[in-house]
Amino acid sequence: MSARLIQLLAGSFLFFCIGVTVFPVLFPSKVEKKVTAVARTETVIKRDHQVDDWETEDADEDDAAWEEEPEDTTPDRRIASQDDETFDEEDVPIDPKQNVVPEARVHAQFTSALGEMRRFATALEKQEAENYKNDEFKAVDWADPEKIYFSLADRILNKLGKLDETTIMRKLQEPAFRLDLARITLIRKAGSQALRGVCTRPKGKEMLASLTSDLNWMTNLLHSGPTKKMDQALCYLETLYGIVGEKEMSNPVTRRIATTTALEFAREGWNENEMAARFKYYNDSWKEGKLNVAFDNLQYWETRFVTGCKQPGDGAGSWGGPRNLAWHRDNVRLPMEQYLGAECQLEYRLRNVAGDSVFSSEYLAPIWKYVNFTTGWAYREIGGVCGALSHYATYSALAAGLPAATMGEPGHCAYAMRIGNEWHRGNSIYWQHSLHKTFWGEHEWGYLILTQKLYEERFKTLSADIMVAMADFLTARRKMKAAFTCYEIAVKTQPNNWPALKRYAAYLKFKAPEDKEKWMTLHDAVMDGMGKNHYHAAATMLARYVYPNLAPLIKDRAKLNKMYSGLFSHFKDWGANRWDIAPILNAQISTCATDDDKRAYLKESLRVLMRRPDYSGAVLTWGLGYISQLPEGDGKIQEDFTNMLVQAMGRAGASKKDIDDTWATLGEAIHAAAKNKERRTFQAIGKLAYSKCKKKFNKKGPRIKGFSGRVVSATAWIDTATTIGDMSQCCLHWGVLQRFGGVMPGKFEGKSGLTVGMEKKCDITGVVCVSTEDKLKNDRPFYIETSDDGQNWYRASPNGVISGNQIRFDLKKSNVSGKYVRMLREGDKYEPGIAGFYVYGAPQRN
Amino acid sequence: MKKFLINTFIALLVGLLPAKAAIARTYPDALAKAGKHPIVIFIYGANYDKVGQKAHEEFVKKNKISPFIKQATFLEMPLYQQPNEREKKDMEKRLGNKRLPGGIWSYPCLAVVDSGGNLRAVVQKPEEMKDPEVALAALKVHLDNFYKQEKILERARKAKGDRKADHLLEAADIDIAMPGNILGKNADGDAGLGNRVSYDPTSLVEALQIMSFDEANAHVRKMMAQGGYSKLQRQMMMAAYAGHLRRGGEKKQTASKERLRALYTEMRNIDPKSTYGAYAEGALVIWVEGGTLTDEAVPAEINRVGNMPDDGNSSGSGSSNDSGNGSGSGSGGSGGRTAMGDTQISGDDAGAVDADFADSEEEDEGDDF
Repeated sequence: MSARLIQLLAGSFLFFCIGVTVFPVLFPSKVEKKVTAVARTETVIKRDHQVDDWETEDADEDDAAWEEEPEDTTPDRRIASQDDETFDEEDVPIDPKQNVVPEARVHAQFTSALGEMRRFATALEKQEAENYKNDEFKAVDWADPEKIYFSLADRILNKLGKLDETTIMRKLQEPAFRLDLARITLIRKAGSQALRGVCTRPKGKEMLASLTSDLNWMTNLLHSGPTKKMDQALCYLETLYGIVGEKEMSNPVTRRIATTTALEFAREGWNENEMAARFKYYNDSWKEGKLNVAFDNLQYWETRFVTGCKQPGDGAGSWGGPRNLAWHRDNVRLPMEQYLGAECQLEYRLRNVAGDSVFSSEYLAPIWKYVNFTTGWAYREIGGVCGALSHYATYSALAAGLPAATMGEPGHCAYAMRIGNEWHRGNSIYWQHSLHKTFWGEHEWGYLILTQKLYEERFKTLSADIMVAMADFLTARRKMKAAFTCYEIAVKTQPNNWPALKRYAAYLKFKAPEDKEKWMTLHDAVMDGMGKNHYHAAATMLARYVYPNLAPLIKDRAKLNKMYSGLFSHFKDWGANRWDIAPILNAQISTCATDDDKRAYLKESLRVLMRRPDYSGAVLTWGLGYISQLPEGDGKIQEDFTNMLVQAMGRAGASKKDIDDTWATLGEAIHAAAKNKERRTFQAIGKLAYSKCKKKFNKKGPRIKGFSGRVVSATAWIDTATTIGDMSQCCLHWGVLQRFGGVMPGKFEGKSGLTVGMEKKCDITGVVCVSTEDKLKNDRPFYIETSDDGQNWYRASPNGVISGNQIRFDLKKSNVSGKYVRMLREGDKYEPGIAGFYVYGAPQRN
Repeated sequence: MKKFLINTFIALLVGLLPAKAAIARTYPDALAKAGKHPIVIFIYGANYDKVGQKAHEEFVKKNKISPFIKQATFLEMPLYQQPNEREKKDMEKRLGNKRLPGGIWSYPCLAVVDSGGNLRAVVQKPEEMKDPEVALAALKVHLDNFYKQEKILERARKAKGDRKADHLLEAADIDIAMPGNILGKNADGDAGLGNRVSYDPTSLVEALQIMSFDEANAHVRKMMAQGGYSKLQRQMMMAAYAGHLRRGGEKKQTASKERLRALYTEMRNIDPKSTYGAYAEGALVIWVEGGTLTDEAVPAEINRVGNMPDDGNSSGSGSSNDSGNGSGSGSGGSGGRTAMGDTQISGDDAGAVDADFADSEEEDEGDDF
């Protein structure tokens, strides 16, 4: 019995042992799976936000048993790459003394800190010349970046002791300490896994050792602008390091070209071969002495505009490929100032001499081989339109190593070019610029100027950037109090630091979203700092990152409205360039909960903005647009808003002193009314302009022979297909419909022409159009289309009869009717000015 | 007497010596000195361009340029980028109240300017400027052309009517820019050159758009027959006409490949080395042969209709029937039968011109020819 029992026990034990051994192999638990994964991917740090890759995988397995498994307690040592939008806190013990939000401080309370930061900036400048190096971490050490990270993290915190602001700022003045912080920052930005990946590349460890032992190199890599996709940038840098070798890479210019090329190509997501080709182009050109000497002294951030220029692909149609750049470099060699305007070397042609449209693939097709598939050369031979012209000038400068960028304007392409330290507009015809190369994804002109001004104050900005890096590190280590202090000192030190302000606002939202005082302090800091000169950026910073958090905390609506209108009374004018205030006003009004709030807001905004000639037209335009987008409802708020706007316009001055401002304001408003197809508003503004600024209108209109019926278009709105940059003369568009005439630019191309929207559907007997040109081109016919709804159009016949400056459409026998009438022209684009447009007929009764 | 004879002999000897180039210190000085001779200006980036500085070293400091400029006036013109006060003064001094002529695309360069300040030619291509020998050879060609053209223009100034027009056209065909306002007020009298000056390729494209193929042929043919147009302009006319046929249009089918082959071949042969010669070559490959343009060399000889030797003056590809009475400039040119048709055909007859090609076209291609 006992033997049998022993046998049974032994058998059971054996079965148990086999089970214990085999079961996890056949059915691995979550824990073991993770351990296996960890073993494969080295050690990993557990992070709050980290997504467990196989949680979703497990969910699909529908096995409840897995859910009950105990949580993994194995420390995850991996350090994920950190972006600028989120905050990663590590799984470290929380120090209660640090787990508090420090009280908001007024400006005076920063005096001592700002003095220390000035000393820090001075130290940075001095130490840059000395270039601190420390090769404590050898190539082999980089195989374990987590180990480096944790040893450095402990070392930094030990050195900082109590974490008071004076100690932090003093320590940052020590190059060795800064290099440690830079290494930490690099690991956090790239992520430890990516660094391991870099180490597997042929020169990866060597490159990392070289990079991280050189404080200047590290500083320029981390603090010369955006660091998006740092992991990729390091891979690219390794490639370039492999190409040129350590010796050449130690040359400051080669290093600058390599680092900025790697950063920009990684950020833009461009491929490695093109990255290497771009680097080679600039490095070889520089070595051969073919670049403008100004390139020699560019800083890293400026070089990024050059080495990071767009369209890196080589061959036909690409502007930024090495072949095209080399052609521009050798064939358009000019002093810096003359690149501005270099587009004059090209003929402006919408069609080539064979008649092919510039937008068709046939346009350059036969010439590519002759020009060796070189884009700039092709356009110089054949000509082009705004896009080609602006790219030609831009890439001529870029090829010489000078910062420049193309930019979009409504229906147009222009460019920005830097001469000395000033940015200039080239081939520009509108105020709306959308730059194609930006640091922060903000495309307007004001941000380009802000970027320039920010980095011009190099060491001040650098000191603030390093302070932000410190704050990020402290955030990761859950030292909230110290992190707040560092962020606040950083944005106080350099109030134009857009990314630092954005980061601080995000941290505030993360840690103290309901701290009204802190939000108010940030609001005031933006107004007093960035708001001094960079109006657009300041207003956007408030609208996007402050108002949504601050507004709900302010219960007194009147105070809030005062704060909103105070923004515009704070600004002297438009600043560096005109900008679109609509997003700001939209952000402000979106914090209004009720219609009454909205009325109060509009009243206050109009009170302030209508006194500001720069902004008055823009606020009217916004108001008209806002009304047109409101849901219909009972129409009360629309009516109230319209009345308020019209009253505001009515208050515009008509004295000699004010007349030009009023004229421009109403011009902008009437333009908006036409675009919104607001007939009543269009007419109201036209009449108001006529009463206030009568001298601006013609006394006498063109002589015309009409048709039967009355001029039914006199009370309509009229719109042109031309994009209008300067809207100050738009009240004359209303004059075009009146007996005394006016002026508006015409543009006829395809289905784009001149459109009027009448009060009612009319039976139309004829149309007369009078041009400002003495003799209209008559090689193509003009024709009329009518519509009842502005959507479906029907062509009327006969075509117009052109005689001198007039086109007459006799529609008596055509039985034409409609609420909307448009005049179009067959053939290519034609842009005659329009002085009068008269639709004759009679309104239909129903 | 003896002294007089010796002096005379010395004077004659001096006169026979090669004329020495004048060197001007300033641009106004150069304009004043030049007279009937050209001014050669070496323009380079003095404070921003290592390539320019190197060229300055080669051309000026090593004095490689002086044997080439002979009777011309030479001026050295440094350009400064963001000049400091000293550099500003230097530029002001050199330029005086004058401005350098427009039309220069790149520095360093050797600009050939006349005493009126007109830019007549410029050596600026990098492949020329990087080697003084190549650049100076190119400069010599320009200077020779300058004198050649001035000589003909002098004859034109003395002549009247058709003779004057002929001289002007002859001068215009020399590969150097004409001085400005050469037509003066008497543009009608110099009709041939007037055509050249007033030619607008865009207007021709627009005009052709609404024409039938017959009308287009007649229109272009008539223009060519009027004469006065440069080779480049005649190539542009062909491009416009061929483009019109290639695209077809409303109620029109595109022309046959044979027709396009003939037209582009003719266009190319007007001046195969020019931009539009190359355009025509490319057009033959992609639109006639159906190929693509790559970095590979184009086959040396594609079997094309009318691929005949070019006489340099023909408005067409030429044929054994060329009668030499057409629109060509300079030496009279050729007219008669071409791939496009007769250079002197009237609009009414245009439809019949290319009957020879009808056989090669497919029936359904709807070519209006």
